[in-house]
Amino acid sequence: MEYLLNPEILTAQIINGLTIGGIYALIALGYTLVYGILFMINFAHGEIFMFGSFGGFAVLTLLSNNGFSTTHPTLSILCAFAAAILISSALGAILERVAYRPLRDAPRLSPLISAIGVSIFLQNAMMLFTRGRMQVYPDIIPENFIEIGWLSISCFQISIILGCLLLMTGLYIFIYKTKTGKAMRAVAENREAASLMGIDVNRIITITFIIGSALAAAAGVMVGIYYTQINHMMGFIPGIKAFTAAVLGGIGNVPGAMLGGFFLGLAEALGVLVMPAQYKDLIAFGLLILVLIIRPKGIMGEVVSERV
Amino acid sequence: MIRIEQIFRLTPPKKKILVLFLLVLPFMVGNYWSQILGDIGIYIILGIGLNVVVGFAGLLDLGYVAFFAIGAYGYALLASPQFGIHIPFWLMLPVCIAFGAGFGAFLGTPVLRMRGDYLAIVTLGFGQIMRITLNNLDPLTNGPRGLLRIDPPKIGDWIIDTPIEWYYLIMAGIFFAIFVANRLNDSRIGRAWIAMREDQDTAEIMGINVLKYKLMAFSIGASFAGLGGAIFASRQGSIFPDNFSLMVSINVLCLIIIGGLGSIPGIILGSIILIGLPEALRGVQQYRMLLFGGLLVIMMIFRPTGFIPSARKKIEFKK
Amino acid sequence: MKNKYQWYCLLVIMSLFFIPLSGYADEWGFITIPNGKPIRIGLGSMLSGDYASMGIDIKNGAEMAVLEKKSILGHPVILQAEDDGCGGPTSVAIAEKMCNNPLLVGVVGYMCSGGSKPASDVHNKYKVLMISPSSTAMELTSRGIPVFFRTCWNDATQARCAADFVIKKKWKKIVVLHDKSDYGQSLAHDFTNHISKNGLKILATEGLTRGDKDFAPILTKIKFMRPELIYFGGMAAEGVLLARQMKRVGIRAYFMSDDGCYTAKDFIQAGGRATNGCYVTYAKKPDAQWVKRFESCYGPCQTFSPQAYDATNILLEAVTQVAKKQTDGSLIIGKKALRDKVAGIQYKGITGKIAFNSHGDRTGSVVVIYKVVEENGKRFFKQLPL
Repeated sequence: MEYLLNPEILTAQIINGLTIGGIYALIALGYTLVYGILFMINFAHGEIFMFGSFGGFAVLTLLSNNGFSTTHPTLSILCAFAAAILISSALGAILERVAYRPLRDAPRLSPLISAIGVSIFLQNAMMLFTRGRMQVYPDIIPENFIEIGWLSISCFQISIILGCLLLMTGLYIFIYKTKTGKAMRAVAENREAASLMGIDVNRIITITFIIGSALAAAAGVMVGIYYTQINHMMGFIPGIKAFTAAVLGGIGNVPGAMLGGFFLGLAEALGVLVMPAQYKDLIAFGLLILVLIIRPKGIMGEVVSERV
Repeated sequence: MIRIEQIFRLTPPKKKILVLFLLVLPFMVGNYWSQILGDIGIYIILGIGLNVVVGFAGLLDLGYVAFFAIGAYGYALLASPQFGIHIPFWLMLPVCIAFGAGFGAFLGTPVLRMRGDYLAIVTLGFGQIMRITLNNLDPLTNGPRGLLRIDPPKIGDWIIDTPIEWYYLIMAGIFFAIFVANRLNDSRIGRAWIAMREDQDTAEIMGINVLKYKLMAFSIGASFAGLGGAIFASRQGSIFPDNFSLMVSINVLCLIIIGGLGSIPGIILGSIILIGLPEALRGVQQYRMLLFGGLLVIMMIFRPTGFIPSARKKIEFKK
Repeated sequence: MKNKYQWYCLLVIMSLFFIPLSGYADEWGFITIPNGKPIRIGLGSMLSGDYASMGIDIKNGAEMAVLEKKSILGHPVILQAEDDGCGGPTSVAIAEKMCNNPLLVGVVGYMCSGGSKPASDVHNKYKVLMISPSSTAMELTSRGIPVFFRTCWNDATQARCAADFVIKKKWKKIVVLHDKSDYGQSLAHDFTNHISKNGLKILATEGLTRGDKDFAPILTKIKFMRPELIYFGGMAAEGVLLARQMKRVGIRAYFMSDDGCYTAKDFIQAGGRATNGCYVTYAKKPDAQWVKRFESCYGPCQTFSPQAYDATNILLEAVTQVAKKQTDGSLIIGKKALRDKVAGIQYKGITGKIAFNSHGDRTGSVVVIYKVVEENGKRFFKQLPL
């Protein structure tokens, strides 16, 4: 408890929590968007995040090998984000077309199994490609620190938090202010009615997958630059945590997923102060259960269908 | 409604052949494949249990491994040198089943008000919490070092420890589980579950106490996992928290859906595919899990209702 | 396939009748390799999944030894590598598969202690030899399983080596971290025991989650304790992140870890400058010429390839000495004789002299301290003088 009362530690932990929380939130958005429209848990979303991270890694490695990144560091990082988003979006769209669309009218659990299959497939494909080895992001820009007394805050952390907020604002505007966004909401509300109103449902679903994947890809590159280590299993734990965050916020609810992500990140960071670190996941899942017992539809949840 | 003979669509002479085949099977395939058959058998028991929860009652449970772990650790703690307690296997079987059922009721009570995917994630959380707890309760469970030298079952002086002997024991367990599941499905409880699965609100209006029946399904499903866990712990001789990862829950769910939700022959086929296939694919070395993932997708696309869907589900899907 | 299997069984049974006549007996029975059939060496390690990288290195080490040996008494030697998934039912199934193969003389493996523990029970049942290159858990040798040996060290040896070094350095404020795995936690436990016996105190012991990437929260908490040393029991994947994030959070303490972090690629290269000055415990450097040969075939030599190479060679050496050629060209190998040969072996391997004590552990001090240093722009593990 002594740590919780120390303002310096508390500030440091809040920043740590917001950093990881932002990443959870970006991934959680992908789960929530897909769920909102198709009522399916896209189990392979963690792997889309992983592929995005590897896409960024490939580009950055290429650029740092030919010296481009030393002269244009910012530009090369933007290139990495662009490449990652491209790869993940394409992957998301392909998966939707190949593995999920044929199952759209199948029993509700069939797409879930298909997604698990995709997840195993993608993990092992990447394992074969990298021969199971850890890959390391090149150091493109030096990490600067803002020192305030005992505190030292990495500029990476600040950029990740700001980057996440920026992307979320963008998404929010897209969904609530554009025509496509309106169509997405319409499909989520009632797919058949939307198609009767002249909305191309297939196109909207593909767009949803592309947006979700792009956000995951951005998170993937952020994780790559911040933590530097990536491997084929990197999607699993963030995937589960982000899914938890999405449910915590109320699955299918976009602001809920953002809130859930930050909430989970903060809970994990602050939980370490009161309990031994090995109970970190216990805190995350315990909190989830507690929240759902009090609010069975999540923090900001709406009514969802309950049939399996 | 459905009897074993009907499930396999067998006339009596064919049934005799099947039974004979199952009896001599381990001797035809040797120890290694008997071991794999035993693994498949344990998953069949788990599948039958989870099928009660998911297939009969329509509750999506992603933390089924928690009950499997309870059965396994329950047996291991009371029949190993850990505390010097050595309760015989046969006595422990009902105890582990009771552990599973009790724990299912205990976990189910607070969460069964949740619906659909909220229940899925909460149970997933329970599964993870169980593994983390077992890993951290060092004085009780030895933590990650696991519990070793767990007692094998004994009949008189005869110790069951070869894969072939285990095959027969697991077979007996499966028949017991199938018997119970079929009786349940045909009973008043089974019909209440189906009504609830199809439309919860209507069922409630018809006078079914939804919460009670949900809890029953959860608890009965968990008791099968308790049985499976006791067999698993005793057969492996040592257990570790890592044996009870999320992948076990996912595997069991996959196998009941691949086989066809709600049908027992489906579960058997699903287990053979899901547990047997990765072993059969060993020839392709490191590509095996890649192929396995791909096959999972292809199977779902071509058989979205599973290979042997239950008769009722089949009619439903055609509508 | 099945027919073949039955054929072998028949051969084995038939040869059993002839053995007493040849005046050669073995209380555990025999392995008979028919004329023209290869001798199989089993290998069990993780070839897909989290620690596939380490498992593939082990396989490479064993494969190299087998390829170099080519044949024993006219019988070709082949490696049967199996993915044992590092524990659980798969390890048991693989152990059954290995032990029931009549042409298999022994197994190099299994990789993880969590797989070796249940597998050793199976091996003991069939009396098939296993030599693990990387399972370090104490329970493996302390349970008195006669068929288990290892070319690596055990947790206590390694932890004691690290603790002695810490005591010598007179570091007082120590924080112990581990990854809550069998391996990491045992090391941390033994390390703590040894340190406390010498009157030093541990400030805190904390467990991490394997596969996690974000250790900033726990390190922030540790920073507040102002430690001089952080000891970590676990693997490189987490170790290198700790080393990096320690610097990020602003902890100015030494970092010390175990053999799991002794990998040039996954620790030094991956960690960049942040790993400079880190200490790790690992075996004495393997033979330099061997490393060159290995690296020309398989790329950078990682943690347990040398131990796997030695384990395979010991098995092959013992088979060569014990196998008796029959007049029909077949080989017979006594299981007990093979086990006793390995138990009493004096082998000069690439990781130093290898001999086993009565429990199956290596004798002599095997573990030394390395420090990551940067010299002439190259960063590498430098062995510290004893």
